[in-house]
Parts: sequence; structure tokens; C-alpha cells
Amino acid sequence: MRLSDWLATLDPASTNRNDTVEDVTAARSMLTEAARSLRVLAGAETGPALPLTISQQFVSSIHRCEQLAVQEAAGGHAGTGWKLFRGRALDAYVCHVIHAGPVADPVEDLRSHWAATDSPGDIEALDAHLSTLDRVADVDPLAVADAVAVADPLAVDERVADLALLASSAGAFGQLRAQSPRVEVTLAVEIEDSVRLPGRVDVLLGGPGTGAPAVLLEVKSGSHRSDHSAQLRHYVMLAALVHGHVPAAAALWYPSGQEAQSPEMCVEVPVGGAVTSSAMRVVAAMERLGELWDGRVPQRTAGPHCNWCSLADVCSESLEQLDAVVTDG
Amino acid sequence: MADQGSQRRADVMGRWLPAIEDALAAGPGSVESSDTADPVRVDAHLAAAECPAGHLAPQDDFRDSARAAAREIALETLRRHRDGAGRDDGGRNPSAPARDAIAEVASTLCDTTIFRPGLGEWLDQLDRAERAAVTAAAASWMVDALALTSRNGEPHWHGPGHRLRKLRSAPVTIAARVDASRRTRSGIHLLVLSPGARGTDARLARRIALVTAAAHGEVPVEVHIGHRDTLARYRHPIDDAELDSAVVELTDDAGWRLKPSTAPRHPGRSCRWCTLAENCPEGTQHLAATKGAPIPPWLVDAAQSDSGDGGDPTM
Repeated sequence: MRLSDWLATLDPASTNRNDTVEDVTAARSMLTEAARSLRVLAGAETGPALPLTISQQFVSSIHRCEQLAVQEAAGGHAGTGWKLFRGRALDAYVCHVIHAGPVADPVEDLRSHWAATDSPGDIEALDAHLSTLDRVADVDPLAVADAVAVADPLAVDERVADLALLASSAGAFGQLRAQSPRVEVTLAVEIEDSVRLPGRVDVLLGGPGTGAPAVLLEVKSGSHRSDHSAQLRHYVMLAALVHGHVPAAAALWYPSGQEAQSPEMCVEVPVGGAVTSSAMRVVAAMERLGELWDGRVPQRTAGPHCNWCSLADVCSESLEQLDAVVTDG
Repeated sequence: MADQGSQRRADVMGRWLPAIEDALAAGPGSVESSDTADPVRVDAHLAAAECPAGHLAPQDDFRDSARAAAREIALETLRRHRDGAGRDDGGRNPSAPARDAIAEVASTLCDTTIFRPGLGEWLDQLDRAERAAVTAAAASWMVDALALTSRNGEPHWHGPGHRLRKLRSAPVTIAARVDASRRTRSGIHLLVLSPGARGTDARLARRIALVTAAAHGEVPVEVHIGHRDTLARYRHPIDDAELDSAVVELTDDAGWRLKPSTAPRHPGRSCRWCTLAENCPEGTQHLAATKGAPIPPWLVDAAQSDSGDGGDPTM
């Protein structure tokens, strides 16, 4: 689904529901209880200094493999530099398309494409149509198609599809601008002065003070993965704790798309139950962390993350997994 | 009526300016004996610093950035387009929807001569992408400001500059920034936006109130600190006791500002990027103690030492 189509489905009345307030209250009390347990540990001689900062990345890592979380804390996470750089570049891209329009000029791209396919008459028809409009998003594919049809009846369908794509891309960004977007919004929560849950969502549409329901957008590159959804659900929980009620909706946005014909893609992440499930995930991470502070040896769990763990070559669990793959193969 | 107001302002200044000057004269002797030619500026935001020593440490050359410029641009935009005090002036519309923020920021950026010279020249040099980043940061600041003020009606937005008062008896200028104010029957209420909770809000609030009293002759009823990360606003009522505390704290801050080496060090989150770095034993100790947090340090140490020789830490 394209972002513009998804935004069009949102129900403006879906915010501030009372049932979501109960979810927030329950999540807060769950987190408070777990934070108090960590506070008890802090009283010990070798206890942690408070507040402990527990990031979404840490929660994700400790559930995958406790030793992975230790390795990452020790700076043994290979490839972080490029990953971070790519993330920053994508954030900058989104910031650009919201506030300055598409990085590349879609009209020029279309002109170049049509010039390459030897359709000067179509370009004239497009330019004549655009000269009557204030915004590219208002392009009417059928209006141009009428003019195109005179020049080359066989090219009409193809041209209509190109024009629809142009209007959709321009429309997607235009809709974002119309919903009070805030970029890279900090959503930090501190519980009982013991635990700090930091977070930063890429785009917050609407929200408190804007008169529009809060909608979270997390921008991603590559293919859709389950940990992207888990990350966004975590931000839904943080936004709910910060704002006092659950956001109206949340979605992952892949501006670069995943197919040649799809310039961008949007995957909705249901917010129903996200606050409770994310709070339980954080509480479980805090319990594991408490056990590590209590002296337990970190557990090791093999999985896809072994591919980027610095211990992969010497970790018995990782090597066993590799042996199993080789044997099965 | 106007005379009464002027007299009242003179009375307020006549009380709090001497109080500050007397405290500085009796406090850090270094203030009077300082050989500083120009008065040093003691900013209220020093009161909000978690670590005064880190805050006063020599910084790299100041450079404008989208983040640093966001407040200035947003406040100019709010003043031009939204100011509640100027509803009938220049087509301002305080109750325009927040979604207009981006267009309003873009409109403000069309005339860079309205900004201080350094910022205006910097904005003129930006390319399209850089300008988008600046617009994004300023529009985000502006929407946060509108969200923080939405419940109580339209405030009067202030300029990005400081409230200043040069003291006669000491080489000190006291300064504070205020983002918005609202006047009610009970008096004036001030609003300052901050990135988030730091535990120093009360200190900051009473300092801003003190500078306002000394520079403008009016004691605010309340100073509100709005946290951008939580969009929560905290009220700090101001009374004489608060202002007395602010005078004492200002004396400390002025001494630290003149002799930064005497400023206390409070290790915390900012140690990671503090320019004092290895020259601060407290900060170094804090960084060592929180290395790899939230993981216990002994596990981090084991992982680091074992990764070094390539062995399995559990073998």
C-alpha cells in the first residue's frame, strides 16, 4: 500500500478513546513495578547506577541473545557504522521530501523518460496541462491522456500509468505536509527515577496540540522485517506513555519501495495491544537485566544475529548452528 | 495609571537590583577583583546545566546548525504569523492550524535580513537540502511550542534574544531567554521551552524570574517550563523566597563564570561529549562506571578482554 492511500484510510475520530487510556495505565504500572525491582539491586555494592537507560535496541538484543547484548555494550557490534550512516541518510531524505519536495524532480524525470521513448507530443501535452496547475499533485492523468491519445493512441495506457505515479508521489508528500509533521521526535520516558526509556520516532503526524490524531511513521530501507514492527510498537508504547493515550495509528514507511514499479511502500502496524505487549517486552528485558546484575551468566541463543556478532567465530552455540546448516545443506 | 506602573517597576528594580549587586559584592570576591575588561554574561541557562563545569568548559568555535537555529527561526515565525498580541496586525492568525507551520517557516526564511547577521548569512548559503533540514527543525520546534501553549489560548511570542541587565557594581551582565508570555489579571506568566526534564527546572524558573524583575521591573506570577520530549508543561510559582534563592544561586554562577575552574562537576549523561574529557577525573570515573550500561561492567570487561584474544569468554 502507498503512504497516500494509507493516510486516506485514517479515521480522525480514532484518538482519545477511553479504552486506550486503560492500556496506558496498565503499562505504566507494569513498568513501574519492574523498575522498583531494579532499584532494589541498585542498593547493592556492585549494583547499577541509576537511572539505567534501556533502549529499544537493547531490549531487542537481549531477547535475541543475552551475550549479543553484552557484545554490543562492549562495542563488539560489527557493521554499526554503515548501518547508522544509512539510517541517518534516510532520515535526511524524508526530512527533505516533506519540507522541500522530492529530491529528484519527478516532472523532469518523466520528461526525460518520455523524451527517451521518443514522445515529444506527449511532453508538450504534459507541459500544457502542468501550466494550468498550482501543484504537481493535481495532475489529472485522464486529462493529459486525452491530449496524448491524439498523438499516439497506443501509448495512452502507459502514459496514464506514468502520470498516475507522478500524481501519487507528489500527493503522498503533500499529504504529509498537511498533517503537521514533526521529524525525529524524542519520546523519552523515565520511570521511578530508576529506568529511562529513550526513543526517537522519525515522523510524528498530528498529536497533542495540533487538533489531529497522533500518527507515527518510522522510515525504513530494505525489506520489511518483524523487528521493524517491534521497534515501531515500542515507539507506540513510548508515545502512549508520553501523551497519555495510544496514538491513532502507526506505519512503517519504505520510501525507496521494494519493487521496481513501486516508488514507496507503507506497512501498517496495528496499535491495538501494542502498548501492553511492548511494555511486557520491556519488563521481560528488565528482568533478564536484573538477573545479569545478580550474577547470572549471560545465555547464548543462536540465530540470524550471529551473522553480525563479533563472537560468531568462537561462540559454541553459533558454531553449532553453522554445523547444522552445513549438515542439512 | 502609566505613572503608577512606572513607579511599580522602579520599585521592583529598586529592590532586586541592589539585592543582586550586594550579594555579588559580598559573595565571590573574585567578581570585584576580576581583571575582565568586558562584563561577563551570566546566563540563566547556566542554572539549568546539569554540570556547571562542563557547561562552562571551552567549546569548539560556535557554528550555526539546523538544531541551533531552530528556536530562533521558529520564534521569528511565531511572532510574524501567530502572535496573540498582534491579532489585527499584518494578517496574523494565532489560531491557524499547526499544519500551516511549514509554510509559515518557509515564508519567514524568504527574508533572512530579519535574523541576526551571522544567522542570516549562514541561511543564505544553504542549498535546497540544507534548507529543508533547517525548515524541518524549526517547524518541529514551532509545532511543539504550539502544542505546549494550546490549552491556555494565545500567548505573546518573544524574540529569540536575551533579556539583559548590566550591573553597575560588578563586571557582570545577567541574562535570560523567554520564549512566550501571557498576561492575566494576576500578572505576567512566562514560558520557556526546554528539550526535556533535567531536574534543574525550578532553578531555571526562579533565575528567569529574577532577571525579569531586575531588567524589566516586573516579577512574574509563574514561570512555566515546557518539555519538548514529553510535551508537558510545569508551573513554577514565583515569590520572594524563590527570588532570594535565585540571588544566592546567581552569586555562585557568577563566581563560576568568572573562574570556570571553580565550577562544581556533576558527572552525568553529558560526560560522553564534554570537552573537559580526560581533564575531569569525576567525568572519567563516571564514564568508566557506566561503560557499556545498562550491562554490568564486569560482563563488558570480560567481553572486551576476551574479544581481544579471540577466545570464548565462557571457555
